[in-house]
Amino acid sequence: MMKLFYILVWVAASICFLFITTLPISSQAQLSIDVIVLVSMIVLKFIGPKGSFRLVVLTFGSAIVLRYIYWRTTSTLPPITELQNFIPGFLLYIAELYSVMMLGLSMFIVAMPLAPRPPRRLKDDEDIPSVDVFIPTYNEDAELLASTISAAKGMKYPSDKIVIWVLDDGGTLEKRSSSNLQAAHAAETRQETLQLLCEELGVRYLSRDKNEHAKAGNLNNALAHSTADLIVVFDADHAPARNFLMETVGYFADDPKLFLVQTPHFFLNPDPLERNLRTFDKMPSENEMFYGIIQRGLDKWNASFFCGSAALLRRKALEETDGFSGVSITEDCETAINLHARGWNSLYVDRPLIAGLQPATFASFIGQRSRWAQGMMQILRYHFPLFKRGLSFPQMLCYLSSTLFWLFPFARLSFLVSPLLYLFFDLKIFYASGRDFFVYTSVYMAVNMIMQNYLYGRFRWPLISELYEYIQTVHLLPAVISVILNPKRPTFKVTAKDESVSQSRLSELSLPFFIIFGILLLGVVVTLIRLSTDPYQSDITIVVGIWNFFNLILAGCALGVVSERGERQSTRRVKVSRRCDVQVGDEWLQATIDDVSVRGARIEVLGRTARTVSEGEEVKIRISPYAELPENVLPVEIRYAQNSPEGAIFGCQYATKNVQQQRIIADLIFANSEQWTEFQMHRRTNPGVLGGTFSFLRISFYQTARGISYFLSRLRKQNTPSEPSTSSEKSA
Amino acid sequence: MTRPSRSLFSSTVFWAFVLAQSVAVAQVAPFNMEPETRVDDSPVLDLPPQTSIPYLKAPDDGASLLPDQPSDAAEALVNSRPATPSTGYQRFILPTSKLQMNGEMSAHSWSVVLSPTQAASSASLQITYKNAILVAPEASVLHVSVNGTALITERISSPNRPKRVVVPIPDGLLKAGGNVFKISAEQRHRTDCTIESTYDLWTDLDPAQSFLKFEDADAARLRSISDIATIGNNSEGRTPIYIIAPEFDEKSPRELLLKLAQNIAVIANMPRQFISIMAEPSKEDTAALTVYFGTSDQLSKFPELSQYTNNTSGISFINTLGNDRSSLIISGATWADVENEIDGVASIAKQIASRTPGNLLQTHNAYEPLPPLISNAEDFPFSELGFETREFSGRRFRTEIAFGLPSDFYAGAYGQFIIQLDAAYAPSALPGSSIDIYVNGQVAANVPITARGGSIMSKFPVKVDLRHARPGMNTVTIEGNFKTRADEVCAPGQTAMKEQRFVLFDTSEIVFSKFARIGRIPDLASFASFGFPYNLASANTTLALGDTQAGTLSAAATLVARLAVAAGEPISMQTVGPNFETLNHNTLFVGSIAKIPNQVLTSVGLHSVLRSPWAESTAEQDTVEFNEVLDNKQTLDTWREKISEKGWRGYMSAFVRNLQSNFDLSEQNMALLSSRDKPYTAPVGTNLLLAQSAGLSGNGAWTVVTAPNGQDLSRNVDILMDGWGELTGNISALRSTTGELRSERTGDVTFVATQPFSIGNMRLITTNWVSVNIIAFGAAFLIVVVLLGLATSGLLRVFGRQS
Repeated sequence: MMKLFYILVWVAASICFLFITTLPISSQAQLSIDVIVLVSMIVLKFIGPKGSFRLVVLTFGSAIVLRYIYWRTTSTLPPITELQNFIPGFLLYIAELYSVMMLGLSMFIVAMPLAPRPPRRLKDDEDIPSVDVFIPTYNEDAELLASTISAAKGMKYPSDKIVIWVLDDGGTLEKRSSSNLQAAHAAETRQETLQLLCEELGVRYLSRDKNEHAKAGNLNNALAHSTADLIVVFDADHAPARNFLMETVGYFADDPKLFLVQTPHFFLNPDPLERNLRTFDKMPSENEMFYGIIQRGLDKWNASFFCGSAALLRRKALEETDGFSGVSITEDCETAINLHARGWNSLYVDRPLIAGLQPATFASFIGQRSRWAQGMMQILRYHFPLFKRGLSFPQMLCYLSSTLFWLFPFARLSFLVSPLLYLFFDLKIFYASGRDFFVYTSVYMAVNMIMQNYLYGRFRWPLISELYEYIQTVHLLPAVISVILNPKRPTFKVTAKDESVSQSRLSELSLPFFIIFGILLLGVVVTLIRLSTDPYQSDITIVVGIWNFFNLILAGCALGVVSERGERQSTRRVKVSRRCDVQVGDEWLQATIDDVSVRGARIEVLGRTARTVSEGEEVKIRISPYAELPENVLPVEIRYAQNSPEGAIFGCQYATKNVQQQRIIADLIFANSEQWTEFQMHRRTNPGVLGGTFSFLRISFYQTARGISYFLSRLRKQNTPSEPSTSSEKSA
Repeated sequence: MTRPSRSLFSSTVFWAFVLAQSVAVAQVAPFNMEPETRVDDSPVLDLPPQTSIPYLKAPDDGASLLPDQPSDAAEALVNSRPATPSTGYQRFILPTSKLQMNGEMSAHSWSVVLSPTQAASSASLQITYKNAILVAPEASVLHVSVNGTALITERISSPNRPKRVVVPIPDGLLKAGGNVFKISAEQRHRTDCTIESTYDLWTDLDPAQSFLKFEDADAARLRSISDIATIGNNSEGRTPIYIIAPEFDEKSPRELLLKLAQNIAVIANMPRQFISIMAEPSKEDTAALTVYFGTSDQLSKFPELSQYTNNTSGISFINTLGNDRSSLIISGATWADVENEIDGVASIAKQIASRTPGNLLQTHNAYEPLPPLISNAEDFPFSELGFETREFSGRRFRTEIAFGLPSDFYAGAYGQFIIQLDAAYAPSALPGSSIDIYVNGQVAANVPITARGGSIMSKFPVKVDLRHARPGMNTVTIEGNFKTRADEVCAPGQTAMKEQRFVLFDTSEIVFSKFARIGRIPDLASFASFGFPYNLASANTTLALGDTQAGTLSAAATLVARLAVAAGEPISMQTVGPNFETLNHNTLFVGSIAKIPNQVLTSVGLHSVLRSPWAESTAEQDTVEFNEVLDNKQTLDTWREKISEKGWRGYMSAFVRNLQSNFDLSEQNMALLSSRDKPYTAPVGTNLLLAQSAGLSGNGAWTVVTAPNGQDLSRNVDILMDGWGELTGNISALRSTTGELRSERTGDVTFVATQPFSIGNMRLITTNWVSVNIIAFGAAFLIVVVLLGLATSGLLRVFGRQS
């Protein structure tokens, strides 16, 4: 009854709203609502009201967006009699409609995201379900796997209730009996190594005969071999925190229809953009917008979906769909949509409980995104959300948003090309007077930025989304087109995440970016020429020129992204503060571990005798692990030593002698998830629209210069063939 | 179609005055059935005989009348017809006091209504023009066509003196009823190739020397009531109608008198009619039509009418002052008989008025073809609007089309229509050329030409603001300005080049979408164009007269007749005055300001004027030259410029004013609710004020037409008729010396539903309202947004998972 009342009020208000926003009013009246909306939004943004007024701010924004679309539809399309203008004009219009639709969908999703859930820890008297932990692997090396398995072993859970499975698809019978002798031998060796590792760490090794259905097939094979109530999936490079299960398992007892508990993916290393633009420590990561707010928004509508790793699933639910779905190459989302459609529920825990690695090079970043984009297109094709029976209407919209998002390369392309059509070919694809352009388009853009900032401010800085979209567009566009034309074609490719770039170089995928930059730069030149030769249409030229210049700034920034910096340190250090003892000679000195990475640690030692230790020497450190470990002493090699007032500071590298010592490292790095949350929080600041834009311009200017200098130095190298090539490029 | 310049006007007045003196001396009896011959014998022999009395034109060839006419008149005649004196009847054809063909391309067309006798009579057409010296004769042509047949093709070559061109009209070309006359000029500059130079090109046509001349003197006679449609206009474009009504201040015939005046006006249907009511025939008889009105008894004081008033037929025409004019006698034994006769006139008026289809706008013979009256989503090809495909070789293409909007047109603030241009321009047209669209003389759209190498526009849409459109007739001017390399060089003879640069096809269309329709009171524009709201069937209109003097009555009759012509049919009225006890909802007040009840002045917003010096000003006081009178707004602007705007405050105020002018923002736009706290002050030199309000009850229309006490209301109303089509807003002030009209809009507007209720119309009405009242709109917008925001928030709190 109450619901009906709310619906009626809302429908009435919406009718008034639609009525008032679709009046074909004069520019003067439009100007007045521009002023009202901008002032209201800015004031409300500074006041920062919580609760209902957040929706009021969004409604203000939507009003302007709706007015813009109304005007754009009714007044600005080129006449159909001029096909050379109409066709590109209409494509641009479609691209804008798409953007607005995506804005609408994402507003629906994040209008009122769920606040992070209060912890639901397992109680002592609760019936504890049995858990199978699946760690699917394909080509990751043993060292990385050891770290992940160690961390998984370190999870707090009754040992009789948990079985850890390493699912090796790199050592299948098919691989081992490959006609390529070398590959067959590698697979054989891999299986042997991993089997040994698993034995030492006390986990189960599982492989299968054929590599059917990629990851989904691998997981399904494991399902057939295991029996526990809950399935946990960790990618080979996703190491869980010690409390992972304690924080998540409880929810399954609360809701018998719950099929999924998803947790965020937290990365210890920067993605190529963050690495090359050096924003990793300051700016929230790309995926934080997704895991920080969008998943919470999806969670409100019971539409939080499986992201392939760092999640728990209920076996009973999976049995209904015969395991993980393997029609698309994004089996995770596909599994979720199928189970949602069958009435199962999902849930999202907004707290990083795993730490992982993400692609370090631009090429593997693009490879990963291509897979996501192609997979989502397949879901759009085979499970079109609006026609998927069993989904609730909000779930349909949520999945629509998640899948349609990946059409962005088309929209991006038309925003990129449109100004050039005018500048180079004099096509007029957007009919508007300067006055109307001012009162509609410019205000729409401003409001759009304010709204994005209002919605995502702490998670996404201004123009960063545009940059991410742009850098992906160039290579994703062909991928998306190919999957649209041939939805069965794409195959699952595993993304390499443990690469490192030791030397500064241009990415092998960088050439198109330099070409585009050159074309846009030419556009700027043409703008200036046209301003002087065609003064009578300077108003259009200025507007289009600014648009093109904005694209140039974006393209310039992208040059920095594809110019990969060489880095000495390949893994991120995590700040910790843990007591330990360091053995110097026969004496155990008290010490504190400041930070750790997967390769080493920085230790502050108390006691002057520590100063006697020299670089290159091997010492032992002893910790009190959180987990129950068979060993607690870890040998390390001192890489540098430095005196401090109370003793010395060591920079050391692990010198593990056996895999059990891996567990000590895992305990150091992954045991405490609190520190990850802290790290994320310190990056989550909102610079504001103006501040963010300014800082973006600053970054872009610098990165353009860096990109061009990399490009020039590479040209110089090519011109002097006598010098041996020092390029350390890897093939993709 | 502007008012005559002051000099032209005063000179005709001078000649009329001199002639009046001579007639007064010569003629003792006003009505002489004999052909007038005595003028030649009059004492003022040195005057040219029968000079340019505006209407009355004695038969002659007119050549000797012009002061700078060469002695050898034949030299000036193109067709070298011998200028032999002959009898006959001259029918002036130009429906304006002045007609100037401007620029490189100019055209006018209108209708001349002829009687069957006139159509059958053999006739010739005379056009007299004089042009600017800069017009190149070898490349400039004047065309005159009648009913589509070209009659005159004349090289424009008479910069020094007026030149007459006379051609015989082929038999059978003229027809009874409307005949379409079209004058067009193609002019080129002698030396200059700039666009600016085209503004120096003009050819003036002389209305007094441009006429149809019928050989048959009988052509002047009116034979039936419907022949009143042929009375036409005088040499100044005016149509004076004299109604001679002895004892007109008696109450009972006043309504009949007004009814008669309206019906005659509807039949005559000329753009610039003026009705003068008098007890006795004027000695200065320059009327296009004289009507005797009264019972047989009353009219018996005019003995010359006795033979007509005694017979039973009632309506009859008599010829006075020679053969060429007729007077109408409306008479009967009793007022009831007179009323019967007037009903007879009314039935003919109704018949004639019904000939105009309802979907066309009546232009009172001043514009042809009749523009469509657009009342819904409609589109018209230019060919239907009188435009024919035109190729053009000059630098400033200009053509005009017209459309009509209904009295309840309410889309001025937001509306647009679309012109779908079918046109092409040659490669020689350089970027920087443009096609500009004007609505009622105000820039409304602009199509810059940016492509090099020419282009063909096919149904190219141009959005045109309706901001300057109004109920009634609207003109759309399409002007193309073309720059070419050749013009920049401007070699000798360049202007005469025939290389075509532009073509506009008559397949171009004017496309209207549905627009908001609701009647508004006050609104002088729909009042002037349609007599709104008095034209509504439900309107029960009262005419309240300040006094019953001839001047007031004439002014009222002229106004009411004008309203009848606008409405297309007479408006039934009762009259009251000079003392009003009860005030009707729909009332037209005519009288000097002191005679208008206070309550009415307050309602229409003129109460402040009553106490001001203006109320007692006399016409003679207004001797100040126009330029010396400071316009407050202009002066303020000048001073603003003078006080240079420095510092950020200066920039700010400059920015705000810039914004205001860019967006046409007025104070009214900014008002939260319309207010009328500012008392109205009449502009300096105002002779006549028009003001309208919805009355005290708010559901009628009070219209006040008033002049200062002691000024001649009828003369001022006569001058008002020139600017009648420009009336707008709710208060208009006329300055008679210049003919300048200043209209303002203040105060509240009452809406009158004229259309059946529909959501679509309501939406558009709302659109227009909010586009005017933008602050109120902003407030409503704010409320709706906040409501929806809160409602959404409420909805999200009951749907989906909760935190």
